Amino acid sequence: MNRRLLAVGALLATLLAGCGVRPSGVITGGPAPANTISGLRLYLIADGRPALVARGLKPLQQPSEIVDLLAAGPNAAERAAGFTSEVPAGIAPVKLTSEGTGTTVALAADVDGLSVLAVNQIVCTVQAMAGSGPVTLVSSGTRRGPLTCPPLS
Amino acid sequence: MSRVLLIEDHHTVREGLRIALTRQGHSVDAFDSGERGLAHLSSASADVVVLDLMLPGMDGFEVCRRIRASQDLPIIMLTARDDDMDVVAGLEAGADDYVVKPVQARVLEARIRAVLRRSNGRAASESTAEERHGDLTIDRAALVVRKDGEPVSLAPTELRLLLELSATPGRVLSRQQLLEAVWDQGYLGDSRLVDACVQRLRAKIEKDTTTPVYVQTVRGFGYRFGPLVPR
Amino acid sequence: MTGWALGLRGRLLLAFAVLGLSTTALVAGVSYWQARTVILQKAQDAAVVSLVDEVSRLAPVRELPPSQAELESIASAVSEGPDPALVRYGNLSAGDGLAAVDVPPQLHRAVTEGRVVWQRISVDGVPVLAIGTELMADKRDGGTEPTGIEIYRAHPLAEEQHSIDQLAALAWSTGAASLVLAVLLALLAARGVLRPVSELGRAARRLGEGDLQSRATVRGGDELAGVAQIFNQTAERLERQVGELRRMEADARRFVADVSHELRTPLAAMTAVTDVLDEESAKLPGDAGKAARLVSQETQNLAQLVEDLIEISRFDAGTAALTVDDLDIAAAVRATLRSRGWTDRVSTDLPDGVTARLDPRRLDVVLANMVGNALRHGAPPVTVELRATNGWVVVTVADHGPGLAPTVLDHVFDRFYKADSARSRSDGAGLGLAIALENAKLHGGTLVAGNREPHGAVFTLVLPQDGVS
Repeated sequence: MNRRLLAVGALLATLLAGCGVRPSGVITGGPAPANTISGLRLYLIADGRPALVARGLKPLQQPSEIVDLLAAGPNAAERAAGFTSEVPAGIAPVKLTSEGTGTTVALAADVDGLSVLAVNQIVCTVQAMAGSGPVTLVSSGTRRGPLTCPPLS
Repeated sequence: MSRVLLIEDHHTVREGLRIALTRQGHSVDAFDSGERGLAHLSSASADVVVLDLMLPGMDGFEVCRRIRASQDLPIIMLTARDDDMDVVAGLEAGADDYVVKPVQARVLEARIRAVLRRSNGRAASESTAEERHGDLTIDRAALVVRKDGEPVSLAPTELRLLLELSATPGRVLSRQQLLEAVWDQGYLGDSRLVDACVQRLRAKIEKDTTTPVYVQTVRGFGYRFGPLVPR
Repeated sequence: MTGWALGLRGRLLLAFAVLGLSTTALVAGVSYWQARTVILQKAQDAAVVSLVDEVSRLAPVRELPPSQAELESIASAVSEGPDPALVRYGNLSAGDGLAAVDVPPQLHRAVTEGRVVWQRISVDGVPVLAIGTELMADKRDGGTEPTGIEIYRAHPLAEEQHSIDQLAALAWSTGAASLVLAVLLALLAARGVLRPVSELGRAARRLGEGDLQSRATVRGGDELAGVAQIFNQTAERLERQVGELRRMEADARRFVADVSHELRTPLAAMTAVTDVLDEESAKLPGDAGKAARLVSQETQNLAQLVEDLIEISRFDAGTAALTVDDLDIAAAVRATLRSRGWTDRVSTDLPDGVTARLDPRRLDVVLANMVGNALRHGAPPVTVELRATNGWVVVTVADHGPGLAPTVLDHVFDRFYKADSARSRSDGAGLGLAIALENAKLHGGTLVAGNREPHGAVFTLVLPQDGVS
């Protein structure tokens, strides 16, 4: 008899649990919606990784200016939001040349002296600017690449 | 010495009773059927009749009624214990007493003596004057009862009962007292003897037997003579 | 255990109710649950699709990190509907009716995974669907990348809750209706099953009470009808067998009665001459006289035995009749003692004035048996006491003998019971006490045997004063 009561109780509890609209856990749906970015895309460092920033500037005269902007480092607003840059100022001036699908970036500073993050910053920024082709960094005889931007986050 | 008329169909019983009664000093005329017994009575006389109820041909009740129609002699029925209805019917037919078979000689003898005593009237009172009770006249000396001046024919037991009751008018006598006084039986007697005799007596002296005046029933006690309501 | 105490009707009711309820609960519960899921799914999907749609139609982002103005413009764009929204970027946030603290932490964590996420939460008892997503940026190669802008919107589910509550109410009322239906059906079924059962029970009870003609009604051909049929067959067989036994017993009794009647005529002749034998035996020499006395004595005993047999057959046949009269009991007792010559052998306590409506002859038989038994088997002094209490006459006959042994006590009124197997039949074992008991019963009274202190047997006769009703 006790066992029967227990069974009935369990059944009732189950039934009542399914009643009404009850709070749930987090449900994951489809991919997050995407939008275009009208500003210039740069990749700075946030939380030790390259992160996208956009600057509402006029379109550049020379594609190579984008690397100059990188070398110039984050502006005040970006710094305030916690962005940094590892690209040293000494890499400018820069020259971008397209070779087929790839892009070659000629730097003023030694390529080997760049940190991995800085290389990633440059590669991602250039790819966002010039296309998805591989990017090769060159400077006075040394070269790195061809490289592609690592998937972010 | 009295003459006993014995009517009994069973040969051995008749013979046994005849021997026993003869030894008691009675002269016994024994017959095996009612018809023969009645025929004997028409030519000879008897003091008492001992009558078996179960007879071939004419039964005991009929014999009893026929004897009663002409004579007032005492009749004792012989009956069996399980013949209760027969006892009542026999008493209504006019029998004075009954004995249950098998009966010992001395028991039958006692009953015979009792009925004979009633008919001999030895116990009658000494008063000589006639008593008047309404329309009834009772002469205790002559043992004559008249109703409206006409003599009433009463069997000995009926007469004894009337004498017993009328001796103390207005007094209630129980059935046992009457049995003792009239039948010499008392508490071991059968009160139906009294009831049957009262019925027969009423039929002879009462105007309306459903509302008796002389012999009145007192429920739960017995019988009472009167009291007569003065006119 | 309690299930058995419920009775058949209770158990049927319970079974039907449980069956009806569980079936309804299952059907209603499953359909309710499904309907609820569908309603919620639809509402959630619509809300999510609407947000995703609105977010993908936002104006392109100009600056990252966005300015507060830019966040607010996004926030106002996605909160144009009735639902409040919140836009966050790092520590910045802009919202309309929704603050950063309203966002559940799990949802906030899940948003950074790059997919649309949502969670049902309860805000002040009202269910709310919280939807969150990160704004992604199209990449040149067709992929997307996170911008760090998170968009949250809260969609109240009150309407859905209402619909679902209605569904629940419908399910409950369906359940209640089905319970009522189940109980009605159970009662109907119980009646159908229990009526034949209780009829069978009544028939069985009547049979148990001695009505051998009791039969159960056989209806239809189910198991109960089978039981009723078996019951009827059993009852029939029982009736037949009992009838057979009764017939045999009646035959035996009639035989005894017939034999007794046949013996009566020769005995009547013999009894008539016993007095002659007694008188003559004195004159007969030696053994002839003894033989004559013996024949006379045994003739009388035989005559008494035959009369007793006939008497008891009348009781057995139910033809014994009472001729009642108003008796003075003290006088009746004295008459019984006097007629048998016992007056000097018995001490009496007989108050006058005790009367009762009884059959004098039968009373005499009972008293004679009681006193005679005490004189024969007990030891003097034998006492006879008369008392009257509450409409009953009580006559007690006691002796000072050894009393009755317990084994004898149970059988003292049995026919031809011999207390002592060594004792001969003529030594009292007969029908006397059996007839006395029958006579007492015929009057509506009793006759009981017992013992008294310090020793001695007591027979107590109790008879109603105002006769049998």
